Amino acid sequence: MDKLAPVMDDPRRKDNIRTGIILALLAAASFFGFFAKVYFFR
Amino acid sequence: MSAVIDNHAPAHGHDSHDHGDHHGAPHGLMRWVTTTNHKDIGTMYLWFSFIMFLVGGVMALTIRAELFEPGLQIVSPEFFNTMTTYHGLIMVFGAIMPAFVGFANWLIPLMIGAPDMAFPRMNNWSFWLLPPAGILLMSSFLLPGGAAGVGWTMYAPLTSQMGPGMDTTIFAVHLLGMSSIMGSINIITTILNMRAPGMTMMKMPMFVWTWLITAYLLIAVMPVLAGAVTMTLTDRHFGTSFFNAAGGGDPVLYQHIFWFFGHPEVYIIAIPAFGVVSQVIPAFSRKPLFGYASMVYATSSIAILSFIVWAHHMYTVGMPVAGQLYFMYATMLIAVPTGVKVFNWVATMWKGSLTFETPMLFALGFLFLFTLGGFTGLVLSLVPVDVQLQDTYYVVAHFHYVMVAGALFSAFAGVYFWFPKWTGKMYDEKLGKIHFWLTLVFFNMIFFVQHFLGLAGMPRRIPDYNPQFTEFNQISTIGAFGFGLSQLLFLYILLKAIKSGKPAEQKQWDGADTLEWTHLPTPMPYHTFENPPTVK
Repeated sequence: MDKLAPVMDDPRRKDNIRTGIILALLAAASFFGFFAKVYFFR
Repeated sequence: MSAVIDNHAPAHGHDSHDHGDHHGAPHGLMRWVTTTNHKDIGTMYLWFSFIMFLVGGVMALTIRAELFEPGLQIVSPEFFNTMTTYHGLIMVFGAIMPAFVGFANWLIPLMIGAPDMAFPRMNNWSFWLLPPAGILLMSSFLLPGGAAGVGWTMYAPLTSQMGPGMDTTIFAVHLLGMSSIMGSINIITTILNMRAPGMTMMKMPMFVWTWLITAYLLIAVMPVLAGAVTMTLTDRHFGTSFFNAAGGGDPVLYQHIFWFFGHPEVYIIAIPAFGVVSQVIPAFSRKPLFGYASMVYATSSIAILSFIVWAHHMYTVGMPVAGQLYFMYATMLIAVPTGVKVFNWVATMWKGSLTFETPMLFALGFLFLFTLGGFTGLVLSLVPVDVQLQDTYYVVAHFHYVMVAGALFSAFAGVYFWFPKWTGKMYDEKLGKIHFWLTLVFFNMIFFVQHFLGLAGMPRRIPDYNPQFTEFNQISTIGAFGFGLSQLLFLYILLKAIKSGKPAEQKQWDGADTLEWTHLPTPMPYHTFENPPTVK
């Protein structure tokens, strides 16, 4: 088995996780926001 | 790209950046199941998309075989509907999108000097959601009532009337959407956080820029599609009436939601294709890309405009004239940044030292035919014209010029361009050129005549037609089978090159100037840029 990609030990890993979480929240907001808009304000 | 590369970095042989690759690539099936390596995952995306391209292609040939003659010969009308539906879904979500995600995986870390994608394990998951989604989609055909014959747009209220094949299709779309969203998060994070020192945003290769913009589009609109199909699911099984008029809902609401996703989706497919062409044309013109900054702004403008034009897909639903006029003018506006891009590609070639190897031929094919597809899009943006042409073969011809001559030609250009770097082997140039010319001729045989069929009023998605349309349909069907066979030649070219291709050079193409060509040996080590290069 090969080692994990070298990026796993990268010092920028924390920044990456922070950016990733913000983007995931944006995606979630798009899903639930649109759903809620259609549900409540048709 | 406008970056100047640090010449102190090694350009030949084994690269000191790559001391980590002594681990080498692992072997066996588990290499591919557990891999977190962006190159392996990129390769899997590309092969998956090619397999799905063949599956969707067989469906296209079924459609074309049925349409060879008027009357019903080969399949039932219900099965014909499932073919148009799954051909569209598979080509859009299973073939074209994964192909460009494959390019993104392979190339973005290399082009910005990053050691890998930012989230390698999530990258593995993004890919491995695709095969189950593909199987789920195909399993629809085995369920009672068969697959859903609703069109790739999955319009209500037809979706409420389908059997369980509709549910598996909805779940497959959910999985494909999750994969795309995770892939996009990975791509944006990689580009924003992991560029090598000196690789400022405005020095990034155009391909990287196009993917950054595309990934934002995906994050914005894939959840909207997920919402639309989830509402369809709850309408079917949980007593809601979002799109059911009998319960107070509105089927046209579905169309608004779908096309709010669907139009940006067109650019999700087209913009990475622009990125590939923006790397290939400068390389074979031996000149930098003309108007790099304007390309970035034009691409961003196209992406922003794509959010505000969705209802041009639904002019005939009964919207107010003011709405039609707004969407018409907004749609026509997209021609401006698109024109900037086409102008810049042509200006890049102007007084360039041009050569016409296979990647350049496909890029030029893209340039001519995508522009034609864009132009018929402009024709269709005009409300009075669209009211006549809505749901005719003119629309089919238009979007195949964008999707096939646009996206697929660009993907072919990209595969031929980077294949030597990826594999260390050179493909057979003569066969590559034959593949291009066959593809070009057969493509136009299939789709050019469909403009005339549409103008004469032949409706799309119908298995039978008036005998007056026979000749053009026969030309189109012969072209389709020729096109399909030509793609088997492509497979042969790839397999032959992998098995017995001549060794490729470190910088196979004179004009290629991005980091993967200038800084990495051919074939590439398994891990690259563990120590980032410096870009001046």
